[in-house]
Amino acid sequence: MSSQNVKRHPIRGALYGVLLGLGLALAAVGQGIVALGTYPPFLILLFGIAAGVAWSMFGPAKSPKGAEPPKPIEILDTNTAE
Amino acid sequence: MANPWSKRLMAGMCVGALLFGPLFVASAGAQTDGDDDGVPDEDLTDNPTATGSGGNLPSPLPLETTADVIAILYQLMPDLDADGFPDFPRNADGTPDFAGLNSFIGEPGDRDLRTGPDDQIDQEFLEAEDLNNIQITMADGTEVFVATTESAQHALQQVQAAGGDLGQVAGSGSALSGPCYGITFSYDSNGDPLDMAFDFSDATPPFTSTPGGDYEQAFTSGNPFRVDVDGAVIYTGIAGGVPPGSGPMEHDWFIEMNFLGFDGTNVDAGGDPNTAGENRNAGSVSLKEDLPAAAKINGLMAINGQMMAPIPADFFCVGSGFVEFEGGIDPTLPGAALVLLSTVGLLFNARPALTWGGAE
Repeated sequence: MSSQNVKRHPIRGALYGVLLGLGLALAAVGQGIVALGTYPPFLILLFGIAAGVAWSMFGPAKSPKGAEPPKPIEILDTNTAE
Repeated sequence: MANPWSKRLMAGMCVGALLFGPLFVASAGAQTDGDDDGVPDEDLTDNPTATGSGGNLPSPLPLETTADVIAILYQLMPDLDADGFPDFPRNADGTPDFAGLNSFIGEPGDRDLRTGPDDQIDQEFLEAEDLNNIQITMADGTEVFVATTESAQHALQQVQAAGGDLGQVAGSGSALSGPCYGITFSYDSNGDPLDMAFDFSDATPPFTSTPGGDYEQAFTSGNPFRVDVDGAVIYTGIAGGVPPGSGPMEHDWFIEMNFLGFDGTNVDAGGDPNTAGENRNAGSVSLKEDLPAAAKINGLMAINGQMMAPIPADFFCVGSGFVEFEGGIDPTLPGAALVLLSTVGLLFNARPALTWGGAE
């Protein structure tokens, strides 16, 4: 039976985290929740990056694509049998 | 062959750069040297957030002096509808005259009130408007503007109509310290009144009035000074404690914001030799004309500013507060779009994935 490995994407997570943090910060500024020129937008950006990396590292793993590969076929060496 | 998600990611980042690049560029104004002394204005202090004490200059202003200063503004922009806000200049068809604001109040491109014997305010206009009651008096050989008693009383009434009280000196927690006093009015894109704030004491932060007639601290995060990105702001101010002719010379000033919480991105800066020693000034800022289109974004912004001069000694003002921009692009929608894009990306492209390994 084949084993399953977990492949993680921390760089992708960080990049999407940047977008997430920027988006949250912009929305918060637009709603007047935080002000430009203060630390909170920067902290929100850091939070987004951290969330993205954490998700990419510890999020629930997707199932593997495709069916389980077949077991290797054992080929008898008939020469040695003779 | 490139991963299609990588292409989408790159496309998303390009969109992000297009959206926010102009904001970064617009807010990262170049350093200026208003007095051509070779030193960038914002470098005149090591600590932009230091609190100022006003040096050895006395405060607060006498009521009469304050009224004199405000009278200058009302003389130039009378309040004919008595709502407490100077009436915005308008074209013949009733539309707001933003371009005329510069010639109406301040020199074109300089925004200083026209003063001095060879550069008087528009006497013809004042006479036509029956407002020719600003006196030019000599003080230590320097010609200055001083409003008449009648016009000063009129100004006081106007300020009180706007909810201000020049006698208010109590309170603490100043967000504007030092001998810089003044009053400012904000107008929207239609030239209609939007907000006002004033500060005439070292001991108090800037105040504004509430609809109920009470006073409320202005420029706070909960009660920011509202400006329209397509509107204008007018102001008048005075250097407290110094007589006309002894105003701050070789002064530098700047307004900056701490971008992403870090020091010092200039929003605006300047300076003036002020060899005449003027101790008062009035001017306007037309955001409609001066603010780059890419920077016309709604939102709350924390700013701080300083003004300093070597003459008189220890002349130093510092202030900080919050300004809310209105009438521009609301960043909420692009922000929400980014959140959606990043969420989809995180769910489908950055999530850990199981792969089939070798046989056991």
